[in-house]
Amino acid sequence: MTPLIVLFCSILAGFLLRRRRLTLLPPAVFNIVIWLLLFLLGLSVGSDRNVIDNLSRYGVSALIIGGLATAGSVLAAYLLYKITTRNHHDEG
Amino acid sequence: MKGSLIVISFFIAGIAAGYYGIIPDAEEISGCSIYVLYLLIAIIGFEFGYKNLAATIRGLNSVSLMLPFFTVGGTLLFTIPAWMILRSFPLQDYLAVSSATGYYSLSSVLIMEYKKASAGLGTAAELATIALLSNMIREIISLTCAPFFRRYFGWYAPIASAGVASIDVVLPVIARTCGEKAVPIAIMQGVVLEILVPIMIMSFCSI
Repeated sequence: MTPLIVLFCSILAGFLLRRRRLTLLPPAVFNIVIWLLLFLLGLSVGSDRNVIDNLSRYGVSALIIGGLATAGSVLAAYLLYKITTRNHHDEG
Repeated sequence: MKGSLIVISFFIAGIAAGYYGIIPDAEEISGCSIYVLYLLIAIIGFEFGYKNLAATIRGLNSVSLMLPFFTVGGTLLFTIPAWMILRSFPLQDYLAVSSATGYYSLSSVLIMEYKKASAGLGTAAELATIALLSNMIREIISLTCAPFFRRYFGWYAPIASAGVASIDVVLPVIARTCGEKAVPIAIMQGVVLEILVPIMIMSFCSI
């Protein structure tokens, strides 16, 4: 629950301060922190023999999930396209 | 592509370091990472509130704001057959993985931190790895298949397939295949998903 509270409070804080001139953190800081966390994720994967032994299985899972998720979004976009172009023919 | 290469090399370097036991106190170090993650979430939220919330509210009744929700809806719906094929984890875990819609870096570390406490380090690492790989695959599909999607599934399809990457990595491809008119819609989707993705992942992880 806590991270969601952190998220909503920070959105609110940003919104309330939106008219002030602020120097935001450069995107590089964000990236470096993400890379550090990914290194730590790799560390947990590498030190767990069970996870290491199953890496190829995760690849197959990832292919199925990634492929189907993308297909779902594409079909939903097709549906939206059909709905909107039925009403007015200005797009595409 | 450069960004994803950096991400995967940090991940692989971590695997190597863990596998050969280069860093002995791995578990102790990863105990602090939850606070780093709070900081990341706070940065995402603040930047959204500061720069994008007002514009998002102004665009509320437009088609371009409907697209991100169609993108997410299609993704979540098609995760059900994926779950029926794989069945190694409960459905909500697969939904957490797929709801990233291509945000592979953030989703993997979020899932890792969130699942660590409830499901254990091993399971969390498995799910996070699947999240990293599947969302990278999504980005690769979006980069390579955009003209195909445009041709057979309409104008919005290349944007929808890109997910959150429609605002950065895949944007040039979208502009080329769908024209400049698609750029504001692609950016709007990226903005909405950047804030929606962490909310969805955290919700699915806490079910």
